[in-house]
Amino acid sequence: MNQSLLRELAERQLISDQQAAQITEKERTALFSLHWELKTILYLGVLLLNAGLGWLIYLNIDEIGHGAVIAAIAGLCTASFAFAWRHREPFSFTQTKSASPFYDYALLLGCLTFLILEGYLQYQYNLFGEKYGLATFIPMVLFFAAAYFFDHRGVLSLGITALASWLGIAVTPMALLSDNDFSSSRLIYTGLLLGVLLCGAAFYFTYQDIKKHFDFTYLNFGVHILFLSCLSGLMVLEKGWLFVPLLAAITTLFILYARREQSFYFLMVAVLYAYWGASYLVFQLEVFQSELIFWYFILSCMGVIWFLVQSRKLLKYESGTSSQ
Amino acid sequence: MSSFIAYNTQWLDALKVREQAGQLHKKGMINQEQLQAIQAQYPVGFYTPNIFVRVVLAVMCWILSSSIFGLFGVTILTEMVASEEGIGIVLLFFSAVTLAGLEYFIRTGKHYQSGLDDALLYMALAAGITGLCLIFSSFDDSLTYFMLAFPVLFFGAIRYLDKLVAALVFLCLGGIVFLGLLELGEWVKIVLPFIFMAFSGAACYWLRRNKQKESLRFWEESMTILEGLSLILFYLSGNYLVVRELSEAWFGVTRVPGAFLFYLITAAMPLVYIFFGLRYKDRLLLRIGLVLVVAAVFTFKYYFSLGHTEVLITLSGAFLVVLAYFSIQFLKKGHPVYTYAEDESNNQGILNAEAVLITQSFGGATPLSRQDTLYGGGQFGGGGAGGNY
Repeated sequence: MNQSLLRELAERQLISDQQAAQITEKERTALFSLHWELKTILYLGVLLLNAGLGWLIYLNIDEIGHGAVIAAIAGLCTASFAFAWRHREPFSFTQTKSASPFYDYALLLGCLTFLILEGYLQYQYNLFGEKYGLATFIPMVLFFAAAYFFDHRGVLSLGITALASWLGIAVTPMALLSDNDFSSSRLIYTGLLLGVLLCGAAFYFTYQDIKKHFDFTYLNFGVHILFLSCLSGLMVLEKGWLFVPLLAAITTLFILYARREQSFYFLMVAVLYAYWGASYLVFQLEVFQSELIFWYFILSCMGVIWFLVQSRKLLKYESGTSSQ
Repeated sequence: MSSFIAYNTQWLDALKVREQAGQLHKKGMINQEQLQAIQAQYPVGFYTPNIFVRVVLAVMCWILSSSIFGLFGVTILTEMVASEEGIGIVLLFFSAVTLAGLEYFIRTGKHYQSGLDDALLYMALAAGITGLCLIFSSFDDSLTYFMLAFPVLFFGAIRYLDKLVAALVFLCLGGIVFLGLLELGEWVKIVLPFIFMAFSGAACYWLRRNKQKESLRFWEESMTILEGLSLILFYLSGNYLVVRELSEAWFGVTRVPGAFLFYLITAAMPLVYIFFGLRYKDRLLLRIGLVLVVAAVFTFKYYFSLGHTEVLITLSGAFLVVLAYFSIQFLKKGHPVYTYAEDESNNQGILNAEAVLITQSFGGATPLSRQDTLYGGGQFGGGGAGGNY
């Protein structure tokens, strides 16, 4: 805090002299927080430990034996969940504050080791046989239950990922584009369904006041899956133009949502996907496969810029305020 | 000097006051009425949208300008772009037009960090520098190009207060020092690391001395960036891996004289940074020190590897966990200077970012149910082992 600034504020009677003195004193004696530094170190440590141990086991599997490895993983998994259980806050439909800094990580570790355990059993002993659906269904149920019971957004993300896997779509942010074959119509319709489901869940749970702070996680997954499925439908399927009204509807919906929630993030997402779709349609017109395409870009970009600058009115923009 | 700034400096000052007042309010040291009174007394007229809007506006502006340039390129200017000088002149013209647009948006649209001004600035500078270099391309000399770029970048950093451009100014200056010294003769090669340590050390010293100055307050953030860069450059100039590999690549020297000194710097410097970062409660120094520890470990691993990377990874992972655990337990007992408690600030954004991060690094662990790769080649993502079971 700037001393000259404090003096200025005090002179202008915006704060009392006593307050200024208090602030100076508090600044002087303020503790130096190492929260994020230590948390990052912890996170990095867990990652390295996990990777290193996995590697060690992989190299020495013959000496250790599968039974011991499985027992160790199962033990770690149980211990992690037990730790989370012991340190849990009483269940509530609102956000709870985790009491121990290791609580979040223990829970995460438990979920991840559960996945590893399951994969190991399947690979080594073919536990689930051909019932692949069951193999993703079990972690999905576990993760959703754990996310709600222990109030953990990261685990919720894992649960949504598992749900999508169960339906056959890879949804990690990077894999969303690279691993999915959007040309199959089954996948596109599944994606639409999943997107609607996730967005619906976000709206419904917010409305019911159940874990309101989960809405961003649901909606963030939902909006991208929904738009990408819709755009793939538009570009790939035979009667792709049937998706135009759907795209328009989703865009409108999310712009309205962004307006209600004052969320710039969802406004941007909607505008960008809509622009992508519109540009694709324009490219299909033969007239535009010439110098005219420059004119299209010039005019459309001007349009988008104008719309965005106007959006401060749409979102009741106020300097200095911001939301997601 | 502040009259040289393109933006309304009164608003820039007011912005800072509001920011600090907001922090005070969050910490509960002033009440809502006082905050509102302060905001009323310090009006800011800038258009500064949210970061998402900023990014999209910048991208749109970039596409728009490229399209205009492309349109001119394919229609009117085909004759002119026949020679390098011709293209250079066209680019300079484009740069001037972009700069005029930038000034217009700042003055009439009151844009400040809105994405439009960022994009226009970067395009104007890039086009200007490329244009200049093309016009003088007959020199065919990197030093000349750096010298041409420097004043352009300097102008951008000072007038438009841009942090990225400020960083480029610093790097450009480093390039000039490097190339200029090489002209002096053979002996420079041996003392080059020390010259660079002196250069970055001096830069850091000057920045730390002058950062708080009232007259330089608008460039404070830029100067902080430069301070960070000079700290990193100082370390890298003394890092054994960097010195040795660059000596070999640039000068064909495989034996570094005074290797022990460089090993010492490699190992000790990050700890020195961390120590002083903690001692003087300097977060920048502390964080850079922490990151540089990774560089130090990597350097020693590179030259003294025992061939067991998996053991190193496991042990360092265990070490970090234990270190963090005991530090946290230690701080929780209460310490007069440091704390594990968070700074009072809104951390919702961080929590959401954390969730995204977790999905990215661990989420791949959930196998796809209806694909052939299922479990077969089971790659258990970033969370599990690197290899296949």
